[in-house]
Amino acid sequence: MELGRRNFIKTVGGAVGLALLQLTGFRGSAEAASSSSDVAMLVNVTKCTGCWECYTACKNHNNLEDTVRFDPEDPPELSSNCWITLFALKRGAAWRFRKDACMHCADACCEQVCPTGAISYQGAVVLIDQEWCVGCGYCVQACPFGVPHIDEHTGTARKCDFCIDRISNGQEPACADACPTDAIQFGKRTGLIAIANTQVKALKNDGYPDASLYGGDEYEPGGLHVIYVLDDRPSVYGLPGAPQLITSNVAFKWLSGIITFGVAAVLPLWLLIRRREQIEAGNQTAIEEDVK
Amino acid sequence: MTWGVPIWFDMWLAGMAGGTYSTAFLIAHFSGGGNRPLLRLATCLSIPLAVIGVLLLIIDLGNPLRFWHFLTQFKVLSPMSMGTWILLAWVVIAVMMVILWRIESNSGKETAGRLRRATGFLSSVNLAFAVLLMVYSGVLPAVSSKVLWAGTVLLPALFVASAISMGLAILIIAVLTVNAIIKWDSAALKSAVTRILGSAGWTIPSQTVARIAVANAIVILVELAALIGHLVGLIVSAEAGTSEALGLLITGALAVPFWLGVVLLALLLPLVLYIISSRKDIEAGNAGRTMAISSICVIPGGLLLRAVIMAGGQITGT
Repeated sequence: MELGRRNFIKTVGGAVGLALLQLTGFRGSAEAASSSSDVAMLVNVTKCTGCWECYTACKNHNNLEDTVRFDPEDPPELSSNCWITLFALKRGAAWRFRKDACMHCADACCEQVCPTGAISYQGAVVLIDQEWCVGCGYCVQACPFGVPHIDEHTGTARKCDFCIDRISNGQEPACADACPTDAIQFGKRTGLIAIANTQVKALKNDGYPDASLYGGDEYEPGGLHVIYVLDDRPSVYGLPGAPQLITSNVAFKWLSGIITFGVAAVLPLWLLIRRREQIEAGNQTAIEEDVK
Repeated sequence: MTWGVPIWFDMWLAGMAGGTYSTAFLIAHFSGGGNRPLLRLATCLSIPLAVIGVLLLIIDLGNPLRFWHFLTQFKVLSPMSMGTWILLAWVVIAVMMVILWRIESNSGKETAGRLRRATGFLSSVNLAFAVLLMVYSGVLPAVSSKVLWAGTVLLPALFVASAISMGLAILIIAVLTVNAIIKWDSAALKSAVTRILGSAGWTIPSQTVARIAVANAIVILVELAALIGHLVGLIVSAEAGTSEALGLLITGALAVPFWLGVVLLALLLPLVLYIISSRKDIEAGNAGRTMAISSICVIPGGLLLRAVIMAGGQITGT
C-alpha cells in the first residue's frame, strides 16, 4: 500500500514536472545539447559562378519538388519547396550571385515568436518540428530574411534545416558539399569568421572599398550561422543592413496599447460620465439648499 | 498572403469584443452601478464576437486539429502565445459571469447579494483581459519584420483606439435598440431583453447616450492622431521598404480603401456626425438616428483599417 502510494506520487510528480517543462517552452532543448553550436557556413559571393549545384543538391537531398528555373534574371523565390535560391546581381556584363537560404540566427526571431514551441535550436541549427507546427504563419511574418513559408500540402512552415541529418553524422550540408568553387564552406564558426575577415581585407585591397563581412557577432540577432563575404554593401545584395530582433521592444508595444486605453477610454468616459454626474449632483444639492 | 481574410476578421472581432466589454464596464462603473445592465448586455454581445474570432483563427491554421498545441506553451515574448491565453481567460470569465448572472436572477436576496459581489469581482478582473485582448490584436502584427506594422510602436495604439471606437459604436447601437424595443408593444421582445439585461424596463438616459457619442468623437481624434503618428514615424525612420509601404497606402493599390474606407468611413465621417448629434436633442429623434449612422460607419471602418494595414504589410514584403 505504502509502495503504491509512493509510486503514485512519483508518477503524478513526473507528469506535473513534464507539463511544467512543456509550459515553460522546454521542448527541444534536450536535443539542442547534443549538437555543437559553433558550426556555421561561409558564403563568398565573389567565388560563386551561379552554377546552381547547391540548389540542385538541396532539392535532391530533401526530396523537394523541382522547379528548375536557372534564369538569373528570374531566379526561383524561396518557398516551402525551395530552400535555396540565388540572389542575382548584374555587374556590367557579368553576374554576381548570393546563395540565399535560412541564416540560422543565434537569436532567431522565428523561434521567439513561435506560439507552440515547434521551432527550436539544435545546436546552431534552427529547426521546425513538422509534427508539432500548427501552421499559424507567425514565423513567416517574423523572419527578417523572408525565409520560412507555409506548405499548402503539409500545412506547416518549412525551410532549410542545415541538413541536420548530414551534419550530425559529421558530413557537410548538401549545398556546401556540392559547391564546385568553394564559394560555400562549412565548419567551425570562429574559424570561418577569421577566414572571412582575411577575404574581406583582400577584396578591399583589390579595389572593393565597400567589401564587408555579413552575419558576424555585431548583428543584433546574436550573429548568424551563415556568414557572407560581400564585395559591396549588404543592401546591394538584398540583405537588411541591420536586422533587428523583433521582440526587443515588445514591452513598449504592449505599453503603447495600454496607455492608449487610458487616454482614449478611461479619461474621456470619466470626464463625461462620472465628473459630469458629480457636477450635476453638486448643482442639484446647491439648488435644494437654496430652496430650503 | 499568409495572414489573409480570416485573420483580419479575427483581429476585428477580438478588438470589438474587448472594446465593447471594456467601455461598458467603464460606463457602468462611472455611473455608480446604475447602468449595470449595460455590462450584461455588452458581455452577451462580446462573447460570440470573441468565440467567432477564435474559430476563424483555428480554421485559418495550416493544421487546425493541432490548435491545442498553443495550450502547451506560455511564451511571454510571443504575442500569439499571450493572445491565446488572454482570449481563453477572457471568454472563460465572461461565460462564468453570464452563468452567475442567470443564477443570481433566480436566487434569494442573500445569495443574490453574494453572487453580485462575485460577478463584480470577475467583471473587474475581466476588464484587464479585455484591455489586453484589444492590445494583443495590435501587438501581434507590430512584433514582426514588416516595416508597415513594426516601424513604430504606435500600431497597437491605433488598433486599441479603433477597438474602443468600435466598442462605443456597438454600445450606442445596442442602447438605442433596447430603448426602441422598450417603447414597442411586443411582450416577447421585451421579455427577451429583460432576460439579457436582468432588469425590467431599464433604459439608459438619453443624456448618457449623448455623452457616449462625445466620448467616441474623442476616441476617433486619438485614433486619427495614432494613424498620423504611425505614418509620420515611418517616414522619419526611413527604414528600407518604408517608402514602398507608404506609397502602397497613400497612392498605390490600397489607396482607395485607405482614403475612402479608413480615413473617411472610419474616422472623418463618424467624427463629424458624432459632433453634430451631440449638439441635437436626442429625444427629438434625429440625434439618435445620426448617432446610429455614425456608429454603423465606425464598425466596417474598423475592419477596413485592419484589412488595409494587414494586406499592406504583406504585399510590401518587408
